[in-house]
Amino acid sequence: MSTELDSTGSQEKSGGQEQVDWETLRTLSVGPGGFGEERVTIWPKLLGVNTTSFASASEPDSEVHQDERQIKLDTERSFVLYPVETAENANLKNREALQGDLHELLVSIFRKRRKLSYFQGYHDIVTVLFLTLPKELQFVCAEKLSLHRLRDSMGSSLEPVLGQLRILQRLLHLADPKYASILDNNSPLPYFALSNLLTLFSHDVPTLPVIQHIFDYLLTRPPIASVYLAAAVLLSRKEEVFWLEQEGEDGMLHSLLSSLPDMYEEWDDQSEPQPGPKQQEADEESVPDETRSATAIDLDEAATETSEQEGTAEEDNVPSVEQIPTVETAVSDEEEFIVADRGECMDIDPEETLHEQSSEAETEFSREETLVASSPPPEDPKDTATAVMKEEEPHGKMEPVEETEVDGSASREDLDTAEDLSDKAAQLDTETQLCEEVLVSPPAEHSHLAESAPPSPVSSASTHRVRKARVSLTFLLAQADALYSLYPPTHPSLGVKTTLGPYSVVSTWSDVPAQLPDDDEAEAMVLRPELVVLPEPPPSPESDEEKEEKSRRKRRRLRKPLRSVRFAGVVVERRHMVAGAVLVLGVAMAVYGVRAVPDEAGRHQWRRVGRWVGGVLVGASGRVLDGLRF
Amino acid sequence: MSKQFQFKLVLLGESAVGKSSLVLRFVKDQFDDYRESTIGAAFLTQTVTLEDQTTVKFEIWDTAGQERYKSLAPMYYRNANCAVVVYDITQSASLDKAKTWIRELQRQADPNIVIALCGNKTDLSARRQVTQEEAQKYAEEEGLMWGETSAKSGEGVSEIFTAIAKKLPLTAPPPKTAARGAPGAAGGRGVDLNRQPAPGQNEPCNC
Repeated sequence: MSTELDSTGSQEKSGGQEQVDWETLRTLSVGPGGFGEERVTIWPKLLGVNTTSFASASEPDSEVHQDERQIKLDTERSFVLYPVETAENANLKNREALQGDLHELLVSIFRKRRKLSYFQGYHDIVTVLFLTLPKELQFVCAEKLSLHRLRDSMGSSLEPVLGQLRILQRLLHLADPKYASILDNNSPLPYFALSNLLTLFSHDVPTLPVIQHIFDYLLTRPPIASVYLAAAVLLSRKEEVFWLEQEGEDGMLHSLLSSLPDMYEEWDDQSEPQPGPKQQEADEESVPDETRSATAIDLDEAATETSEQEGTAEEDNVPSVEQIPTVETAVSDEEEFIVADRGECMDIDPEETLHEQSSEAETEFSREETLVASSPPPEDPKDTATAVMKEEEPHGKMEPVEETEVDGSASREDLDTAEDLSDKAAQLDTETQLCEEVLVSPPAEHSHLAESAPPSPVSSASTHRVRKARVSLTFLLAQADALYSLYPPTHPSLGVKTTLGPYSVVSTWSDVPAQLPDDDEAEAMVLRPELVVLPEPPPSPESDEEKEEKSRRKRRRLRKPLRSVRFAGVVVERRHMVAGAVLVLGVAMAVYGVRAVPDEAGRHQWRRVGRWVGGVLVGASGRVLDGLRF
Repeated sequence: MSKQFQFKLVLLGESAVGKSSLVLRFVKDQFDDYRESTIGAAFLTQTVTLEDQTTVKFEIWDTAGQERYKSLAPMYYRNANCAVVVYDITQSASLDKAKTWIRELQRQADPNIVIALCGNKTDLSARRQVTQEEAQKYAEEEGLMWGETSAKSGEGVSEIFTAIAKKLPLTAPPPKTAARGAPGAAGGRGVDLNRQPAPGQNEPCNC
């Protein structure tokens, strides 16, 4: 077993337990497809499971755990989207049988680890292990995962995950203050990310290969990595949020953001066939056409094609908006921007400089978006929409059916929600009169947007629809790593240490199994919630700085001449942002490599941050540069 | 042109009583035999047109039922104009839970909130544990609206929402609540689209 693992970074070591080469695995986990088939042997190692002599499930302990009723309620409605019976896995058990097995697994965990509490969504996490690992490893892996990574959420309350949401909120403010403020206006905490954090994305990702890849990523990183990934996901939705914000639908924003973007794998002809069947399943599940996202439709088409042509046509389908040729001026412009800033910040602490640069990159990014969203003249919305579509056509990828693109913002849980969105968009397109009604009554609460963009839901709607794109999973993962490296958990403004206590998994996690708390000790930690999450600190004086920062950005924005807007400028933005992030990271790595030192309580969880992000970054920047060469 | 109103509605109730299914039936006229559990909350909207062509747009917050998510509920009912508290007619314990929610709403929510008690799963009436009389009596005592529904068959679903729409104070504009502080905290905004989406009409072209 270990010999085949050598290639994937695992080193054999005598004495049962194999040493894990975290850095190699971290790099691998970001690449297209993640660990692929190898994850069956890698995950147990990452979880610290001794694969040669592991404890079996609990002794037949008959005493019922208090949460078993809820477990039953949830397992009875599990396996909704996957797995799917296809030709290859025709011997797959039927749903009821799978549910029975999952229920048994869940119950055995809670009967053995009685101090843990079940939370709705935990069953989604365990489902991923259940569908990935052989039966004999399921229990022990789920147990380790629960005790050392999920434990914070397995106490009696939601408080610890709310602590994570607070950290996420601060991270968003560091990464993009303007955007973060918009989100704050909608929700006191980024609650739309709640299920992402609670369930490690497993509740929200509609296909097994994608969630497996996300687990590859998360399991090779400290538990707080989920916060960074959630931030990367939220940052990738900025265009959609700006659009919705103009629409003035607060709840819709929750809907949009509580569903994930459509994430695809970049590894051309292997990735799609896997999601494909699942999407078909979605069809069989009688999810009616109009509720499915445009991106899902893409997937369906892909699935059909691949089943017909054995995946050969896939490459043509995969390139999405982000892979459309970059506008050179935008990039060079940004470089110029950064250089200018570097000058301004010369005397400042290098960390501050980096921060500044990165937020500049973001500023540039958001400025463009704002421009694009606002620039089409509101007078003739229909024409604008058509014009935008026409410009897009040469790129060959976008759905001509605009409404469904809007629909694409939602995924399975909130499909119904998006219906309203698309509804509205259709309405806007076809009934100009109504559009004008909307125009005259822009949402008053959102003045900060109103000032940067005329209330033109029509034009922005069309822009939005065209822009709606699938997001590369490797892109998101690289973004999460970039965020981690720019704003590591030791960053004072994140307040990790003032939010999560010594009993939080974030504090107790270690790459070295021997330094993890012992299993029983870990289990007992849930009984001390006050040591898992600390009381919310009083509002920090940071807000003044933020205000100042905001006005500074505004001034800069005003100084910049308005660039003529071309649609192509929009489609490259995500790439543009990575390019910026990577440029900054080149420097950031050097800084954080030195600065990421252990802090307090002898826990050394961040020691290796610099090193592993470095590895990942090489890959990420390579991809970006490839893209730029297009 | 006719009047348009926008109201915030929150769904509360024990886990697995059918809150999400009820909303799905109301909003999309659909039913899934397997509906995943809700984590946190979901948001949906639906517009109802009354006989006088007044339209009422519901902004619906569908909450998670598990006890541990309870602490999030105030955020969703705080500025709600109406609440649908759902129980499962085949689970008498779920009515107890509904009563707990109602007490909490009466204590903590807007005093003018319109509360409807809704007994779901009438398609399973063979396994009924909560009689109509019992629930109706309780509702009358507490001054609540009451109805029974089947999200599966659709029975009673649009009726209960329409009844709520009629009961809401349509003579005055819906309260302008604080714009900040909670998801969906923004109150009515009067930008509603003046129509009722009929099945088939609101489907984006998917061809």
